[in-house]
Formats: sequence, C-alpha cells, structure tokens
Amino acid sequence: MGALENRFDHNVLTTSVDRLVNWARRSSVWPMTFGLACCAIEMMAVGCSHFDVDRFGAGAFRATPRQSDLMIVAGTVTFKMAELIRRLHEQMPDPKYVIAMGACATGGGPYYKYGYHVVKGVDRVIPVDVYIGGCPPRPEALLDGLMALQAKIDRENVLRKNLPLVTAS
Amino acid sequence: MYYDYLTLAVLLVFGVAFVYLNILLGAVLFRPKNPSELKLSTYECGEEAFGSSWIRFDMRFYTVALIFVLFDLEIAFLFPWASVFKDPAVRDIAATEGLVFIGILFLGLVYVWAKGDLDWVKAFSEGRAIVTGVHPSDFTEARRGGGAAPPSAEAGVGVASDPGDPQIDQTT
Repeated sequence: MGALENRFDHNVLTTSVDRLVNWARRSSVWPMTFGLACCAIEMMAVGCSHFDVDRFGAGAFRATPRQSDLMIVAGTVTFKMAELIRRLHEQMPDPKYVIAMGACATGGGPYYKYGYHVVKGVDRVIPVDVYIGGCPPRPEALLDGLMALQAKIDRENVLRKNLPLVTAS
Repeated sequence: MYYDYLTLAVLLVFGVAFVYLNILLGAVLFRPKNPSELKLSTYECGEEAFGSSWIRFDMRFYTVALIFVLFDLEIAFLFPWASVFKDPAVRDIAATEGLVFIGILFLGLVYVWAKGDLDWVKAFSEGRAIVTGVHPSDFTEARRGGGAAPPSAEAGVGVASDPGDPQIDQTT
C-alpha cells in the first residue's frame, strides 16, 4: 500500500477500508503452479471441476511468479530446487503468501531420516504462511488450507498500524 | 450536424481518463513497493539468467505474417468498394474495377500457393535429387586387386577416400 501502508490508527474508516482491501485480496489469490512431486496431482485435482478452487477466486494458476500472489509448494524440496524456490519467491511481487502443502514441504516428510538430498521443510528456505499435513493431503485439505490462508489475510492490517507484539512478562 | 460525435468524443476522453487516473491513484497510494535486487532480476524459471535473450525465430512466421498483411489490406480496400456498390450510377464501373483488383491479387495468391509458401511443412518433391556420380556399389562390392582406388575416383568426382588406408580398402 505504498504511501498509505500501516499509517493510521484504528477507527471505523480505516477498519472498513481494510476490510474491503482484505476482501479483495483474499477473493482473488492467484496461485503459482509449483507442483514438485505427488502433491501436485492433488493440486491439479483441486484445480479441476470436482473440487474446484475457482469458486474461491483462486482458479487462475499463473505460470510466472510475476503475476501470482500465492506459491503452493506442493511436493518434495530438494537442495537443487531450493535455490530456485528462493529466487522465484523473491521474484513474486508483494503481497505474497506461501502454502507448504504436504509432509515433504512441511518438514521433509518420509525423507526426513535418510533423505540426504531433501530440504527438511520449505520453511528453511522461504517464509511459510500455512502448513498442510498429509502425504498427500486430500484435495479438501488443500481447500481447507486455502480457507485458513484467507482467514489470515482477513486479519491483516493494510491501512491500520500493526499493533506491537505483546510478550508475556 | 456532427455534434453527436463531439459528445461521443468527450465521453470517450472522460472514460479513458477515469480509468487511467484510478489506476495511477492505486499505484501511488495503494500498491506495496518493496523492490530488492533479487526481485527485479530477470525471470528465467528460477535460475540465474544467462545468455542472450535474442533467439532465432522461424522464417515461416515472417512469411505468413507478410501474406496476411497483404491480403488484409486487400480486404480493407474492399470495404469501401462494397459500401458504394449498390449505387446504380457506379455499379458497372465498380464491378469491373473490383474484379480487376481482386483478379490481380488472386494471381498473387496462386503464385504463393504454388510456390509452397502456404504450407507449414514444405512437401519434398521427387525430381530434386542431386546427381553426384557416386554409386552405392562403389562402397559395397569387394575391391578387385586390393588397394585399387574406387572406380568413381577415376571419374573425377571428389570421393574423399585414401587408397593407402588399409581399413577403407578392406570394406566389403
């Protein structure tokens, strides 16, 4: 939000505008196709007609990071791919979100013990917003993760100032 | 008499300006701006961009585009011709002129078609084999006298085989 980001106190005007902006952002989260392994099949199922992610406004899968809001890391992250994931995530414009789909992207999955080639969780490379467990997660689970991301976007402060974190003393 | 068009022009200008100004407002006030060196780097599927981005493209695209432009201009010229065609004062002249115009361009179409420029994959015609004087039997029959040069070398055709090379002479 350029010049107006996180500037204003919480009042009825700024909360209303924030609700509007957040509604617009969560209703049109365009994912980048980032299927790496088997979870990609479930992501394809979500994109097709039975589970239909298009009703969430997220049906426009973009092949390029420049036009996408969301990066669904669906699959195993290897060391070779990790550098590419980092660069692609950096090339996405703000505001951007990441869903770690499946056990491999969340924490290394079945390759946790002996996988010398696997990065144990994509959050070692990029910041993740939502984790979805499963090997692979059912398409409904991915939709549930997307809805959790939408709830997270709803709580964002766009015009309003971000309140300071309160730590327990 | 043309005041309606003036109204339309004003509406058009305001419409375009409204959209442009809203986008500008959104870009200045509402769009997040966090540039970083990595974010602005050239996209190449996640890798570092290397090599030139100028690639060779197929000449057939140029041919097809050129033919399209020519015949598209022909269509553009035919539109005003068609709109005055029903005027009885010019109908005969219009018909002959139009048919002459279409006829000349039709000859061009026939040329392009016959030359094969409309085929994406050019058909290979049989009569284009190049005669070299080299016969497959030169390389398949056993040499008489061992070490003698193949008969095609005597014909003067440049077959690059060395008679002193034992491996080549012993091929059957």
